Amino acid sequence: MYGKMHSACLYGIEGVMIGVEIDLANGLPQTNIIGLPDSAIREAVERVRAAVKNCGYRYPQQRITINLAPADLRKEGSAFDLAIALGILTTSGQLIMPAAQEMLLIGELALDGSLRPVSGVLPMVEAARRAGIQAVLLPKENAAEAALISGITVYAIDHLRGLEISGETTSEVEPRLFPNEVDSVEAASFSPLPFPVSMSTGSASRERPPILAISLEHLRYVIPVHNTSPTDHSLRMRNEMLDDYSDVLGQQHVKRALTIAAAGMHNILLMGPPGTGKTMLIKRLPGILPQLSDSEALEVTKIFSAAGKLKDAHSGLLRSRPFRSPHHTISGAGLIGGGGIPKPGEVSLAHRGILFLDELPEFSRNVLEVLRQPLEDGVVTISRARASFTFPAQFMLAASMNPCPCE
Amino acid sequence: MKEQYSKERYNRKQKGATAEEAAVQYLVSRGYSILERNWRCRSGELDIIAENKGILIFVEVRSRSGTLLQGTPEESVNARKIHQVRSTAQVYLHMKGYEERMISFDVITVILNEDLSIASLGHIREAF
Repeated sequence: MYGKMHSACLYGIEGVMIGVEIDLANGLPQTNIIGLPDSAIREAVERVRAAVKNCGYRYPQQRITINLAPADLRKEGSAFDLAIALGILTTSGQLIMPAAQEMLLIGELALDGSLRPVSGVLPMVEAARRAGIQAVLLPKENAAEAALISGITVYAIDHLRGLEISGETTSEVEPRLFPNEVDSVEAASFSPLPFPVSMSTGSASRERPPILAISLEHLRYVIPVHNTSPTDHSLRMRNEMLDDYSDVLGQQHVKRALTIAAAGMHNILLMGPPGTGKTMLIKRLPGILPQLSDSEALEVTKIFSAAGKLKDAHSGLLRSRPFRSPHHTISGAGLIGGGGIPKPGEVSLAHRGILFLDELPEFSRNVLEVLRQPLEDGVVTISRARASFTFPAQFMLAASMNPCPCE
Repeated sequence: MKEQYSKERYNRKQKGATAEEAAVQYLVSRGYSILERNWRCRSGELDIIAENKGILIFVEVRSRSGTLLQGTPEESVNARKIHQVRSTAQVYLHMKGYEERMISFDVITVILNEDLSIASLGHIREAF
C-alpha cells in the first residue's frame, strides 16, 4: 500500500516542498525513514507511534518505509511529524481523508497526539503556494503566521483527534479488521486455564471502523478582524515606540547627519567622548525611517520566521524596520550566520533595517572583518561542505565609538 | 556433588520447558495453531511459532520462578534478545518462503511457583 503527502522544510531561509511517501508492506515489522533525515526526523517515528496509539488508532505492524523526496536534500526539523502520521493512518485505511493528499501538512506531534508549533512556517507556506497547493493544515499556534500568505486556505488543528467530527458515522464503510485482535466477548468463551492469564498489547488498540475526515470546514482558520485602519496602525506604532526622535534637544549637527543617513540608508559612525549621547541618538534612529513596503515586509518577516524569532504573528507582517544591536562579545558566526545547517545571523536579521554596533573597537577583529562581504554585496554567502546558503543582508550599519580607549 | 551446590529442586531446562508447555496450552486454548516449537538455526532459537487468522506469530516465552528478586520476566527481554529473535525469524521466513506474510512478535511471560506449577501467565501482543 502506498500513499503520498506534501510537507515542507526550511533550506536556509527559503521553504522547500518535500514529498512524504509511505509504503506499507508485509514482512518483519519495522519502520525506516529514508531520504537524508537528521536525528530529529528519525525520532519522529517514536513520536508518531505514541501519538497514533494514544488517539485510538493502531500503528501498523508491517514493514513501513517512509521516503522524504527529493532524496538528495538533507532535511532537518520536526515539522514532518503530522505528514508522517496522516500518511500512515490514511495508507493503512484507518483514516479516510481525501483532502490530505492535496494539502501542505506541517506540525510536530506530542506523544498524546496534540500538535506543537514549528518555526519557519511563513517561508514553507509561501513555497507551497508557489507549487500550486491550495490549502495547509498546521498547528493552531502557527495559523496566524500562515494566514499572512494570501491565496491559501489555512486549517488549524490542535490535536490529531480534531480531525474527526462527532456525529459523523461510518456505518456504510466496512469495518477494517485486525485479525490478531481477540474480542473480550470472544475471549470469555474460551476454555478456562488452570492459572490466571493477563493480556496486553505493544501497539494495538481495539478494532474500530475507519474515521472519516471528509470535510475540514470546522478546522478552517478565520483571521480575527481588528478594526484598524492604516492610520490606527501607525498611531499604535508611535505609541509603542519609547525612544522618540523628537526627545532629542539640541545636537543639531548630529541630527542633520542622522537625517541624511536615514534618507539614503547610508552607514554612519558616531565618534565622541562618553556621555555625549551617541547611543541615545542611534537608538532613536528607527523612528525617522519609513515603514517597510509590502514586499520588504514579507522578506523581513520570512527571515524572522526562519530564525524562529517571529513570536507574535497575529499583528500581521512586520512593518517597522528591524533594529539589531548585538553585544560586542558576539562571534563571527553569530553576526553573519552559521551552524552545521546555517541559520541567519544578526546581519540578516537587520536586513532592511539597522545594525547597531555600539563600542565598535571593542568588537573582535575577526568579527569586524566578516562584515566586509555583507557591506559590499548586500548578501552573505555561507558555504558548508553540504551546501551553500545565501542570506540577504542589506542593512544600514550604525556604529559608535570613543576616540581613545583610555576615555 | 552437583546437587549440593544447587538449592533449587529443578534446573533451568525443566523450568523453561514447563513454561513453554503452559504457553502452548494457553495459545491452543485461544484458538492459535502451533506450527513449530523450539525451531533452531545458527542465529538462535524460536520458542514457539504459531498462526492465528492468517498472521504468523513468533512467540518468545520468558519465565521466572519463586521471588521476582531477579526482575520480572518482561524485563528480561532486552535489546539483544529482541535482535536475536528478529534475526532468527528472518532466517525462518527466508527458509519457508514466507517473506510476504503478516507477522507479529509476541512475548508470553510465565511466573512459576517453587513446585513448577504456574502462578500466572501474561501475553504481550506485538511486543517488538
